[in-house]
Amino acid sequence: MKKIELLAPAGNLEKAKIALLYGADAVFVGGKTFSLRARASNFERDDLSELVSFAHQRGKKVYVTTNIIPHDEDFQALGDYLSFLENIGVDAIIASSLALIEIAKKHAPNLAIHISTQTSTYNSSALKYWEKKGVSRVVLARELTIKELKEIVPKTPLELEVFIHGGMCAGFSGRCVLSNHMTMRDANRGGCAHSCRWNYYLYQKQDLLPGFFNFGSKDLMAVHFIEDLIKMGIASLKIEGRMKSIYYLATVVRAYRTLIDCYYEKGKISDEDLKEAVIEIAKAENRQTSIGFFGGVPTVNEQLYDNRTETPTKEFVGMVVDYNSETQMALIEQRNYFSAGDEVEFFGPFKKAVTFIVPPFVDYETQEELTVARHPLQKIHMFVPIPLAPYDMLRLVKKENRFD
Amino acid sequence: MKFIVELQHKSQIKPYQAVAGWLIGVESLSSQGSAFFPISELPGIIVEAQTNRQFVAINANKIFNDAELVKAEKVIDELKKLDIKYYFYTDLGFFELAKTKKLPLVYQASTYLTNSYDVNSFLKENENVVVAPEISFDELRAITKQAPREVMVEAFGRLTIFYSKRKLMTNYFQYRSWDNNPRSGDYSIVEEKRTEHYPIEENESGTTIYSSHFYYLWEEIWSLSNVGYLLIRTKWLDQAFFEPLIKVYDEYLSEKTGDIKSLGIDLFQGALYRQSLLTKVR
Repeated sequence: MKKIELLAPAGNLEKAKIALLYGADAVFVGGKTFSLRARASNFERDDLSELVSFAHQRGKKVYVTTNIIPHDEDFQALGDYLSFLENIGVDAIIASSLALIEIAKKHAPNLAIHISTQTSTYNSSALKYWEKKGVSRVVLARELTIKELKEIVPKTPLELEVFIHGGMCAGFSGRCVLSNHMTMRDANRGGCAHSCRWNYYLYQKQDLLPGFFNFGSKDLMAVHFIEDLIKMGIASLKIEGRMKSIYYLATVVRAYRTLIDCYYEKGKISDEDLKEAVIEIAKAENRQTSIGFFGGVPTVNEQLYDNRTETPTKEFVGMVVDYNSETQMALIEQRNYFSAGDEVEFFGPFKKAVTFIVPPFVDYETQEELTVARHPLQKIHMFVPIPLAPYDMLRLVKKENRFD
Repeated sequence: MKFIVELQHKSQIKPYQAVAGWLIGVESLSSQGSAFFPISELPGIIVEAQTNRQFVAINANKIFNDAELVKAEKVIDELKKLDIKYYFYTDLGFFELAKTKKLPLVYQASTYLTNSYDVNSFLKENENVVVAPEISFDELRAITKQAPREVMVEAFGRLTIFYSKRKLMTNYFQYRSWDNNPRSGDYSIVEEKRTEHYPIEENESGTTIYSSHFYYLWEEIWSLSNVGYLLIRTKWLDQAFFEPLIKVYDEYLSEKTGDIKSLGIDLFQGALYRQSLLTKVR
């Protein structure tokens, strides 16, 4: 049985490496052109090459988004770019334009093609269409229920990819031009202004109804459906959010990695495993979540009406750069203010979180003894009698007993 | 160049010189449209249209799940017995199904056909395509010019700017604990810092938001080459405006006289002449 793929987003090289180290089997990233999420950092060509090497050395994959709905001007230099992606060994492109796919077949014939969710592929008949176009995978529309997914999977030889976590479009992806009309920012070329999350007045004929009308969606969290999705034969589980932080990525990827591994090790995911995953994700997920369409057409529970509310998360305060297991000294890069006396959790890829009270520490550059780490990216040396490794992270649990 | 006009009511079929055909919404195949006619009414509509040397096209603009496609196939089998000139569709699943039935297909993908390359690719496998309306006039002119044969272009109507499978009105009224009818068809939304009203409608297929004004092409029509049919969509158009609108376009296309602005309809030209604020990094 082929193990299901865990696919994570990455807005830059650091995020991509973190996602892969924390358990993603593949990452999807955007280049500077042809990619949605214009505001995500997106990759220069050199970064893409480095990422592909980094991933392949670890037996992992890199997919590059080319899923804008292009205008004529966007096709300039497309063939050259696709050839470059093929040459550096990118594992697949994600596309939504039929013409772009045809150009890819011509200029980069060995590059696998995944169909983007921007195409709203929502039925097995549409899968047949894409199968005939020679693509290897389809990212399904987020509007499919678990029941519908179960019916579709056996009807196609294509790999199917399903979103499991992150932002949900309120409408069919690729068919929404709200942002275009509200702001002249083209939602389908990376300029989405998320107009579906704004406040609107609702009128019935000429009468203004009280309060704001909202129609945005809560984010998706599918921890309770992972076992179903594995069993039905989905090829890839996708986490959304190329703009998210490394801390968010590490936390969410690690939680889903743990669930997937639980299933393959024990044959099932227990309620305890699920509970732990939900608690873990809540440490980084500050937006309200729901099950999206998995349980059926969304009800009031899946809508985002209180869209100014963000739930508090655990604060990401540092990342381990190096660890000497003999001296038990950790070299830590500060990412947010913390103090000696704080209760923190160390967590890392494939290891449980361990709580720890921060002792006094020293500045790595000046060797000055410190009780507070105030400066972003400041490197500090700290005695930590817990086995650590580079890329392990610290998150704040309690600020009590601070030395300052 | 002639028009295909979305029909609101059977009584609107008249021998307008510039109207080549009528676009008909039908239950089970259409999700957005002025009216959804029962199949039983179609033979009468076709006879009436053909009396005027006009054809009938079907609006199959729903996005289907597998179960809905099974129902759609039964409807298609009924429709195949009738003289239907075109089937306008948006779901490639519908394309796969309809192709096996050898139906004459027009791909009206709305947001997707924004460039010459895709237009030309889809022209190869369809009878025709409708170019996306949210593009600049320069782009529209270039796309039509570069098409290897005639395409279709939207000339008038409220544009569909958002389509969701969600029951957004039902959910909202439930959230508010109001007993409003979510499907009364008389709602609009206004963004808190703006003034334009965007009609919003929920039906069995989900929820649709339409543009705040009626998009229109007028003098631009004469600058377009390779356009076989112009589409007039009449969703949200007051029935009182239907005949004057068709007449004014009819006159304009036949004799270059008249002025659409004289009708007093809320008009706009969408993205035709507006500079996109898209942030692109090259």
